[in-house]
Amino acid sequence: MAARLLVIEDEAPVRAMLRLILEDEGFDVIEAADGETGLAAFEEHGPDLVLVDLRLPGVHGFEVCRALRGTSDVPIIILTAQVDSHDVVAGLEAGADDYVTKPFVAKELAARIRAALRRSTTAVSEAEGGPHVVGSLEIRPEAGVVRKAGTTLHLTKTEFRLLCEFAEHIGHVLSREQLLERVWGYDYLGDSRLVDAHVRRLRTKIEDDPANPRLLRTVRGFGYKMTRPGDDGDDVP
Amino acid sequence: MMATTSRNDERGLGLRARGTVAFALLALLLSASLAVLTYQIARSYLLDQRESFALRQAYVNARATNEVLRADEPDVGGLLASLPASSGGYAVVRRGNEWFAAAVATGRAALPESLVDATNEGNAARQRAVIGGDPALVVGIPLPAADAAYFEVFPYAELQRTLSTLGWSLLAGASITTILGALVGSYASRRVLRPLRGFTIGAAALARGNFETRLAAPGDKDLAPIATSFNEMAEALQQRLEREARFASDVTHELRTPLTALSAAVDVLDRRADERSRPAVDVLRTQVRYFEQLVLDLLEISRFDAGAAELAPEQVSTRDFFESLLRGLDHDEVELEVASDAPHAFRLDKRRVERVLANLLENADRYAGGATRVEVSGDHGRLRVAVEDAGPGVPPDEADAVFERFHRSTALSTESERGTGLGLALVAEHAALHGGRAWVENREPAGARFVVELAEPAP
Repeated sequence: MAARLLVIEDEAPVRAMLRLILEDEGFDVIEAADGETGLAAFEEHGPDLVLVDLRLPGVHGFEVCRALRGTSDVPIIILTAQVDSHDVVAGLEAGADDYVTKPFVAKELAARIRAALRRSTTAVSEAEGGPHVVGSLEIRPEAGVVRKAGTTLHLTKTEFRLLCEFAEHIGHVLSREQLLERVWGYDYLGDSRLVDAHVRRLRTKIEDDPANPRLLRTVRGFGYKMTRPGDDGDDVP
Repeated sequence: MMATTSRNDERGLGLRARGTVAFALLALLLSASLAVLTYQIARSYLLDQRESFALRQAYVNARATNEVLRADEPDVGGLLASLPASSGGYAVVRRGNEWFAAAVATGRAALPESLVDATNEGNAARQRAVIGGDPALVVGIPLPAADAAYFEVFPYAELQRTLSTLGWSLLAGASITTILGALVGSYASRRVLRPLRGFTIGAAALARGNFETRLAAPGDKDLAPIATSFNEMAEALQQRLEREARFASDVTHELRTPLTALSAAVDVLDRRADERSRPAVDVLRTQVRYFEQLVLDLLEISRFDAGAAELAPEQVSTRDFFESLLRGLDHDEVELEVASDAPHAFRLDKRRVERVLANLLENADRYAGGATRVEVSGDHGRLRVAVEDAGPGVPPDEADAVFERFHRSTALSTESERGTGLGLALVAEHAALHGGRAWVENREPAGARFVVELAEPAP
């Protein structure tokens, strides 16, 4: 069955072209012209992925992301016109999994959508094994479950994959480039802000004190690494 | 002429120097006038004193002489020797046609003729004269009862010494006052100028692009208006820049939306074009891509102009980064050489360096048949990226101009697609934002070498 995409975009010509391109790529497309209609369409159709423009009249793209994240871990890709503005970071903070800038290239957009769908539908590969226990955190990659002190945590698929990647390489530094390639499927020049934003989101869920992380540490100039509580984190990368 | 002079003064002397000189001149003028006045008053007072004393003494002596001369056998030599000489005066006496002098050097011949004549006619007289080379007062008193006259010469030497000492003292005083005036002037102008240092620092910060710079109100109410207008200017400048940045951002959105629709429509058409419509679709695609790139380049450069371009540096592993860049830009056939002493890791703005390399590669494709080699080198906090080609090279007189906006090269483009004319200008802007620069060199025997140098920003 074809994956079903919800496209929330206020500009009718762009919306119409998105429909044509995405249908050519073999997706089912549902259109919405503003945030409110989009959220209603999401409830009604339960799409596999949401493509949302950040600058929407009425309910802003950020708010759509936050509203969706309140109830769902559906993959969200934001469309933005600003390449180096703070919009991208804000959109990622609001819960988006990835972003594509306008004007986009059809092939590139389709590739980003496929990568996001792959993350959300296929299980973490068996090689990553598990379960991993890190402090009070219990990670079961094959079942897609994370528990903190026995309570199940609610992670998006991207966050979950990122966490598995860290748990698999516990004690080792992973560079942003490595993470972009392994988690997002970027083979070249991914935006490291994607990693930073997701690490921040992950910390708010798994750390006791997100401002003072004990599990997911920043290694200045290199990347991030997961450490067991009590380790000083000075293993050789 | 006056204006020229004053302009020269302004250029030659600073406000402080001028303040110092003005104070010194004022002090000099005042103290010199005072000194001259003091000297004049003192001199005329002392001269009067001396003269009235001399007259008194001359009359006393003349009376004594008269007494002696009226005797039958007057001893004029004894008389002259007995007269008091404490005041420095010396006497000359005429008796009948005989002349007697107390000193050998002064006799009848030394006395001024007019004075002698006046006295001989029976009138007492006095006159200033130069006697034996020294100024002196000569007093003549007729003694008719004895058919004689009494003359006395009072040299001014002592008075001259006193006046000279006074003059030197006054001159020294005036000099000291002038120096003190200069010191006070220098100190006062420094105090006056001190608040201006704040303005200088503020203006320099503004020039560096720190548009939030404002001056604290100075304590002096005379200077407060300058600070106020400086702050108003900074405020206006900041608002204007913010407006321009906002405008660029709005234009970005407004232009990208139709471009996005156009670009997507071309993608759709491209997939469905049949043989007959293919040439039209190709033209459409090429032109839309060109338009798209032109708009993106213009927006990029407008962000530089508005001062809204911000560096977003990240640490990269040098070799991995440039390898993936070449791969991503579909140029992995170009030889990449990373010098052994190049930094292994470097902080740079990935997107901007990607644009730099993309533009340099595109430039090589367009004018030189493609890049032959990319060389990465560097040392202490500097990274150099060089893109070499085997094309015709760049004429020396065009070496700087190629980095200007919309510079139309005399070289022939080998590609049918037009460039935006902004590629190399953006390369230079990106390099400058990285604290570096871009330049081009020619290679032997042929070809060009475009070099971009980046400075590593502090973490």
